[in-house]
Amino acid sequence: MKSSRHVERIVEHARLTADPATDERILSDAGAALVRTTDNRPQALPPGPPIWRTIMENKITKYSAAAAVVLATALVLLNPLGTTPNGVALAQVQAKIAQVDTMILRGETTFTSVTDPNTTVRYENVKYLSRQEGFMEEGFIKGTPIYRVILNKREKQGIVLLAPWKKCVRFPCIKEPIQVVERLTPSGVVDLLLESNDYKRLGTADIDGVEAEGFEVQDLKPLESIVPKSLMDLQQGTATIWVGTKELLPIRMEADMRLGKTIATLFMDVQSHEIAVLDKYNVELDPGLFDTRPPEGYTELKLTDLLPGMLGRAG
Amino acid sequence: MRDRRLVHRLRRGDADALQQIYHRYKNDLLTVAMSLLGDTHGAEDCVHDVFVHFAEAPADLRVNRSLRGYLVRCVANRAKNVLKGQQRPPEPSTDEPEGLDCPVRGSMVSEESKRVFDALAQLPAEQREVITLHIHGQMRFREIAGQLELSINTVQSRYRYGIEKLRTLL
Repeated sequence: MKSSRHVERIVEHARLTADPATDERILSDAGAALVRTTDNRPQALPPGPPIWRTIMENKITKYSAAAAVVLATALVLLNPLGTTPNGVALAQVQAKIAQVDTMILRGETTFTSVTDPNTTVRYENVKYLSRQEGFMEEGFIKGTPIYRVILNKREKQGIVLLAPWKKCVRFPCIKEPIQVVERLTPSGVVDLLLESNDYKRLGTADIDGVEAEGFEVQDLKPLESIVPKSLMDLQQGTATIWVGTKELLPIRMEADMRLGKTIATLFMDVQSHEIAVLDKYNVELDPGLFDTRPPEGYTELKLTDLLPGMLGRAG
Repeated sequence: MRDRRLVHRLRRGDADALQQIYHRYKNDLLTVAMSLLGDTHGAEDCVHDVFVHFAEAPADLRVNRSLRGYLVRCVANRAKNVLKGQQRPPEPSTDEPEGLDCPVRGSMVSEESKRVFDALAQLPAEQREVITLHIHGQMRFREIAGQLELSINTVQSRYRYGIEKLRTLL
């Protein structure tokens, strides 16, 4: 039989070690609790699982959560249309875009943890922009729908749908979200272009069979005014935009951004890379795309369930 | 950075301080919770709840001496409440190794550690509590006595009996 001293040493060496999923779950919930507290919100939510706990318990949903939350928090804050060119004949581009009522963009977003490059989230997305109706973005991971964000301008209503969990969050889309959308409509894009004077011409190139002129923007500060820093901590970034020389419309955009820890990045420092390609424009879009009624079988959450404590700052 | 400084920053709502505190003590706290509860997921939930509560009221923190000791006591209290709610002793873990494609769940524990946690689960709760607080919580018998409102002799005898039983189990 072992001595008492030996047994004590054996017990002393027994360890339970946290895995990354546990770290993320605890830090997400504790971080959200801290934000609630520092926001000094009187009706603090009880600690605990709600949607985040469910999300973090599963590898697949954990990864897709990043996509959903980024969308839900910042309302397309990483949208490629939020990047800035300047150029060829900017006034001509502006005039051309002013004639565009609808636009469909397809793209891909990749988030990579700065501290752990093995932690990567990649999702594809498609965006529908309509000057009259509003905005809709849908995200997929390997073809599986993960999220859908709809901002309906006519109804002044927004909704975020999280397909894997059949949950949705509805919210009034009155001022700030609409402003974000306005920034992302074609005319808003041109405004952003005009705000930036710090750009580099990249010359012309063949982009997917189309002759285009490229512009690289080093300063993405205009994005900071769109989304509060508590939601998106944009530390540095560059963007490249290619404008078709014939059509005078942006045809491809790329953005690289370093984002600090916020709930939108699951409290990680991340490097994001976003690509968007103009698929179609001035096409008729089905008004059903902008329907903000929850689909059958979906449970409605409060926005605070998804983003505890964040809304006060978001305004 | 010293604990006191981290707590000061946390009181001002500094999320980075919260993360540093978590990463500094997470494994110690998970081990304490696991020793008391004998269940990986229960231990994670216990530490989760303590940290959420910890982050919810940073201005009210009363960390007079050791932050580690404070957190250990929080975890021990939380685990005790969990066990009271369950009204049953912890059971030896039945967690299976996970395949690569399984959903991610559960912290990591070696076979040898699992054997120790299983042995601890077979002790009476009061002996397990004292052994855990003394060995994993690094608390002195006097502190444990104060915490549990017991005489130091009672604490020491529980510890002794518990270790004796572990000698037969390990």
